[in-house]
Amino acid sequence: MTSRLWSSMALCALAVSAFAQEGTVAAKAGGGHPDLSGVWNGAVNARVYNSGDKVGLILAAREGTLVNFERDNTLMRRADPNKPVYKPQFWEKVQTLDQNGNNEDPSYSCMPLGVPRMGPPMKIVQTATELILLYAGPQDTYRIVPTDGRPHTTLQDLDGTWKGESLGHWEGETMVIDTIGFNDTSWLDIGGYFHGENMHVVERLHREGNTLSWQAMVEDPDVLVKPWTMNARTLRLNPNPQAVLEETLPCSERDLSHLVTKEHH
Amino acid sequence: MYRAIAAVFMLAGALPAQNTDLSGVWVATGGVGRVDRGDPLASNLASRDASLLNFERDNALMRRADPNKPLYKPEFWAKVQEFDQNGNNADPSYGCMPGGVPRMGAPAKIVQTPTEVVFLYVSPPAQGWGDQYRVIPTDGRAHTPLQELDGTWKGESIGRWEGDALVVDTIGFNDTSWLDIRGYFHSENMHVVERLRREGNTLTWSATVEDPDVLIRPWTMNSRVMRLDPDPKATIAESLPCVEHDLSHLVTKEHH
Repeated sequence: MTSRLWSSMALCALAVSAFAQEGTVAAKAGGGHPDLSGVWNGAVNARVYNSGDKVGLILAAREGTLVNFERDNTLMRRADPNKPVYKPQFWEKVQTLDQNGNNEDPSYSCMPLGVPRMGPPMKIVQTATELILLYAGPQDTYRIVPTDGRPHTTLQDLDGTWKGESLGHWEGETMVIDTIGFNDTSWLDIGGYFHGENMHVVERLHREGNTLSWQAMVEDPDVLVKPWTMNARTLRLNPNPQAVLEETLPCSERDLSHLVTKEHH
Repeated sequence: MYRAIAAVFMLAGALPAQNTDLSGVWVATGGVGRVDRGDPLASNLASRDASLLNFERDNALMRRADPNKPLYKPEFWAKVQEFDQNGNNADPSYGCMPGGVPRMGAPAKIVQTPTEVVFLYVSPPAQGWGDQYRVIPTDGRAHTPLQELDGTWKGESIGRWEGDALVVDTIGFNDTSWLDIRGYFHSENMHVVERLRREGNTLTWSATVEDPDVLIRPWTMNSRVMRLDPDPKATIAESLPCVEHDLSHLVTKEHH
């Protein structure tokens, strides 16, 4: 247990230090900014299922395989010391949601993951005025991120949605995506991590050579004691310029009522 | 003088067609028989008086009265009719499955780069096609051989320019999706050709479906005309997710 804890903390530190490195020259797009365009479907994290396909980005696995995946994944997530810290009055709620994840987790009934749970995109199309983030698995969806300098819509004028209103700007070589305007249905991650409608998410995308780091920070003073910075993920550029995204199988929730255990990964 | 004018016209015709820029948010025009709500969803909704009043029956009537139907081989007439009459359960989009090509229709937003065109879609909450996208390469690549493609809802789309029209050629489908409401099934050998042509700030989308396994001849769907949203900062709304909890509780076979 202790060694698992330490190794996962070390990995966390590795990810953060990789994120902090500067200076590697990446391809430049028009305007002198880094070009984030491409298919980013290679996972280089050590402890995810390394199949070389899109699923590998999502699934944590001790041995890099899917053997005994369901229990393995649950154990790894619970052992991860990087957790959002909720206000004491919400501890019980988080625990109840977590223990009944089969029925409580919206993504188990085919709802969208939403930001930030949907994680980094699988493909980015960058133009002079916007980023198009394309996701392929576990759900095919997109995000449109204007980078034209517009301000956010006032929060009370936004309908709360799964993806919220995202705006991007460059801070040096890093693309910073600022998102508000959420519903309070989505979860931050598995484990019952609910949030309020005042959630504010800041994602950072940083390209170094042919790797892309993604990290998200969640602010939600209504329910969290302090902002939560999620574990960074590092993606590898697909070297094939003609690489395509595979279509994800649609979600079907017909089995939900037939589950006989509370196993939930 | 006339010759010079003619030469100018010929020259215009010979200009590189790739310069046609389809980028932007394209709002469905209400038009005849379409709901005019000024939002992209209208491209999917037929309506006699351009409103959503009495929409469910209205829509069903309009579609049945439309003379433009795919012509199935006689051995499939009973199958189409049965699907149609049991559309609540047989229509995959009623169970939150994706619409697929060509049923998903025209995109709400297009992003064009020198090597690809991205179609972004929105959809009504009762249908499963959600915030879907298509990435359509225009880099001159060839189709993957059909037998090497997994049949999917959206298939493999390749784009090319013919004059000033973008032609999107798609193969590699599953045989689960429907061409449209009314039980219009198809086979895995379906071939869809969509054409998008911009004239000024309007965009016309049309699709032709070839499926010799089940259709007597290719079917050209009704075209749709959209206008460019003049606001360069226009956004498209997030689609509500599809929920199929109600499907088993429906007590009529009403299906639109």
